[in-house]
Amino acid sequence: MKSRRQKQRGSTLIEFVLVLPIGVALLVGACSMGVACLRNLQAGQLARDVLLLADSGVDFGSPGGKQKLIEQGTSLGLESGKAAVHLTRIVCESTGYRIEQKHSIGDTARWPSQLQDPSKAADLKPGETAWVAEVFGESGTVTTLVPETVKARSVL
Amino acid sequence: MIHSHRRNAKQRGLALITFALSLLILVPLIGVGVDTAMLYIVKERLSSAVQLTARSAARSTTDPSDAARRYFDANFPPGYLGVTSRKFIYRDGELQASAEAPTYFMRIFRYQSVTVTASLNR
Repeated sequence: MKSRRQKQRGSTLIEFVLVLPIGVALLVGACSMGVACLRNLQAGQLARDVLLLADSGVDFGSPGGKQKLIEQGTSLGLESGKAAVHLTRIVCESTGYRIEQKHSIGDTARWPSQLQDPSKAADLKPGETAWVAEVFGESGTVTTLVPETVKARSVL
Repeated sequence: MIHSHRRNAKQRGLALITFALSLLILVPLIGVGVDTAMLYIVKERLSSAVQLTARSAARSTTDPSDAARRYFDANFPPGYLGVTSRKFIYRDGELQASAEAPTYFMRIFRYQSVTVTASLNR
């Protein structure tokens, strides 16, 4: 025959088991959102920093330039293939838009450039040029509520 | 003895009720946290857009205010991150931008959107 204390222990255990999935789901969801937000911010900052570097005259075609780009993207995991950066220089001519330079680094097979039509990236006047930076990375989420990829695009 | 037995019976389900009540506080708290994070992302992207726009306008050989508008549109297009409306003022190299960012959980407290601003002075 079970004692009263044993019965009480059993009911506490059942209550705990009922409450646990909700608590864990809330915790995992909140952590997932937090990590995804952080990665989103990092992607935006990387897009901006890469453009500022390009504008300052860094040649991303050279090994030194590529190294600088990798260093900038360390927080997003660019060196370990957890992110991809596409840097495109577009020119607007009287005949239309033209891609002058393109540098890609990281896992570009997983995240190819989405810049199919340069005219949609920026509204340029003939003779003007612009750098377009596209950054993709893993959001680090474990839930389906948050997208798996974070992305950012900036123009300078 | 009977009194003790009644007390034990009353305690059953207490953890569930306590947890359900704590959810009433926990869920809005997490919601406010998520909304704040989303607003921070909008703020960061708006600040970046303002910074890049200012640079682009400064080096433009044509009308700087027109260049600023075009580059701001490229960096922070309408509807970006769910933003409902945005304003942009460029005057003598000074930039001011604001955007109405939607909220997801703070709607419970009747905050449908929050105005996020960013500016850059010469």
